Amino acid sequence: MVLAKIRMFWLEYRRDRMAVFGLALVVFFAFIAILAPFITPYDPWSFVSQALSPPSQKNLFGTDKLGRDVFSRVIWGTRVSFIFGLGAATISGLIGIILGAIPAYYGGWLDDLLSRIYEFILVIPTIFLLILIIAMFGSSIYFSMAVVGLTMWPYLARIMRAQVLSLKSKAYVQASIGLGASGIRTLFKHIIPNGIQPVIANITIQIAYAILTEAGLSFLGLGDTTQVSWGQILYWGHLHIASAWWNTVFPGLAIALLALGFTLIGDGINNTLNPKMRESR
Amino acid sequence: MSIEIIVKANNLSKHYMIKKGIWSFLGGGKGFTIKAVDQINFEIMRGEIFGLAGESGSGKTTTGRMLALLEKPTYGSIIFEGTDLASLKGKELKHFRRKVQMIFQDPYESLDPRLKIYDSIYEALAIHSIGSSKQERTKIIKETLENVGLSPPEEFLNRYPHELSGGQRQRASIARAIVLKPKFIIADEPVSMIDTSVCAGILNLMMKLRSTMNVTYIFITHDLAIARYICDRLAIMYQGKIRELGHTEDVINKPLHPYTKILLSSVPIPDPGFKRQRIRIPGEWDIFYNQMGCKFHGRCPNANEKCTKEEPELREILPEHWVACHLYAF
Repeated sequence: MVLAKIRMFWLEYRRDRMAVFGLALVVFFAFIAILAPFITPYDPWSFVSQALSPPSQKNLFGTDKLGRDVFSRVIWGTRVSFIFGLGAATISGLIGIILGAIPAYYGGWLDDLLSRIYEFILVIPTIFLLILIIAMFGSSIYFSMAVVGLTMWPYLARIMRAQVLSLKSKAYVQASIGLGASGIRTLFKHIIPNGIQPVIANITIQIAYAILTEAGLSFLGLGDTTQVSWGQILYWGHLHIASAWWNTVFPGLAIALLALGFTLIGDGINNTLNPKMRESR
Repeated sequence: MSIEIIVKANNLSKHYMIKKGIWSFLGGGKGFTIKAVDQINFEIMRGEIFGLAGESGSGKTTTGRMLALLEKPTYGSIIFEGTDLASLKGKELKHFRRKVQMIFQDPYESLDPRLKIYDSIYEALAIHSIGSSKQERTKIIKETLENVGLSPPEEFLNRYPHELSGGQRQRASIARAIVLKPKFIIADEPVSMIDTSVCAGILNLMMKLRSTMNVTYIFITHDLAIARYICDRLAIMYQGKIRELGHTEDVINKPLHPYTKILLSSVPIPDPGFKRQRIRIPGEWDIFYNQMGCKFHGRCPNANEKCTKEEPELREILPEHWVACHLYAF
C-alpha cells in the first residue's frame, strides 16, 4: 500500500516537467557528492598549476589564485553543500514540526506564547542575526548549519500549526481521543502523519535556502575556511571576477542549479499534494 | 428488565462566548453567549436506546460530545454509573473511555485514511492492553469484524478505509467502538450519510449489539422515521433545550409540543394520494437573537402572551411524557 501510494504520487508528480527536471538536477549532484573521491582529478587543497590559469584540458574549470584545480574543488564542494542544506533543513524540520504541532494541539497559553516567539523570529532579518552569531561564536560549518536551521523553523511551525488546527476536529482524531489514546499518541499517530505533506514540501525548499545562505555567508567571508564549499570557492575567486571568470562562474552555476533543483522539487511536491494547485497548472 | 439509570444529565449546559471586533480582542467588551445546550436534564436507563432528535443547531451533537467527554460542559454535570464525569482523571478517565464509545456521523472521516482497518481496531486494543499477544488480538479483531457483518474478516483486515463503501466503513467504525466492549455508545447520526439501502442493515446491527452485548445507546438523529424505528424513548430538542420527552410511540403518535407537531407534519409519507395537513411556520430561528420567554414563540402558531415572557419548564404532563410548553399549564 505504501508502495502503491508512492507510485500514485510519482504518476502525478512526473506530470510536472519542471519538478522532474528539479529531481534530475538533485540526483545528478547527489551522485557527484557520493562519487567525489573517484571523479576528482586532483586533491582540492593541493597546488597543481599556475595561479589563475584559464580552463584547459588539464584543469577543466581553470585554477584559483593559489593554483588549485577549480573543477576538483567544485566537486568536493557538492558534499559540503549537501550536508549543509540537508542538515539545516533537518534541524529546522524537527523543531518546526514539534513546536508547531504540540502547542497547537494542546492550545492555551503555550500556543499563544510560541506563536509570538515565532512571529518574533520571523521579523528578525536572518542574515544580520547570522552575521552577529557567527562573529560572536565562530564560523565552524556545523555551527552555522545549526544556526541557519534555528532561524528557519518558524516557517515550518506555522504550517504545521495550521494543519494541526484543521485536523484536530476530524472525526478520526476525535475517535482516537474517545478510545482513550494519549495526546502524544493521537498527535504522532494520526495528526502529524496526515498533515505533514505541506511541511515536507517546504523543508525541501528550505534545503535550497540553506545552500544559498551558506554560499552567501562564505562570500561575505563568514564561511568555514577549513572546508571546500562552493561559497568558499566564490570567496577566493570574487576578487578576480573580471580577469578570471572561471573562479566564480562555475561554483556560482553549481549553487544556482542545486538550489533550483530543490526548489523545483518542493514546488512539485506542493503541486502534487494540493489538487487546487494542480488544476491551475 | 430492571430499571437502572446508567447516565444522568443534570442542568447540562454548553455556552460559547462569541467576541467580536478589535475592542473585545483587546480584552474589553462583553461579547455575547450562544447557548448551544442550555440546562438540559435527562436520564438514560440501562439497555435502552434513547433518541435525541432536532434540527441542525439544536444542540444534539454538542450534548453527545459532552457525554463522550470530548467537550467540557459549561455548567451542570453528567453522572455515569454513579460517578460524576467531571471528577475523572488519569486511570479512571481511561477506564471511562473504555466503557463509553462514540460512533460518528461521517464514515468517510471517522477512520484514519492512512491506517488499515486492522490497525485502526488494533489501536483500541493496544491503548487498553487487551489481549496479551498479537495473535490473540488478531483473533479478537476477526471476531469483532464478523460480529459487525464484515465477513469474511480476512478480506477486510488489510483494506484501507477508501477501499470500502460508506456502509462498510460505518461497520468498521462500529467494530472499533465495540471491540472495547463498551457499556454505553453515543451514536451521532450514524446513518445520516449512508445510502438508505444499507441504512437499515446498520440500524439492525446496532439493535443486535444491544441484545448480545447489553449496550445502551444514545441515538442522535434528525430523522424522525429512523428515531421511530430504533429508539425506545425520544427527546426533541430545539435551540439547546429539550422540548418534549417520552416514549417514542407517545411522542410520535400523540405529540404535545407545537414544535414536535410541526416537525412530524414535515415527515414525508410514502403515499401520493395522502392529503396531509402540513403546518407551515414563519421564519427561521436566529441563534444570535436572544429573545425573552419561550425560544419558539416567534414561530409558534399557538403562542400567547405568557410565551413571550416566561421560559417554560419541562414538566410531566402525561405519565412518562414530558413537555416544555405553556399551553399545558394548569
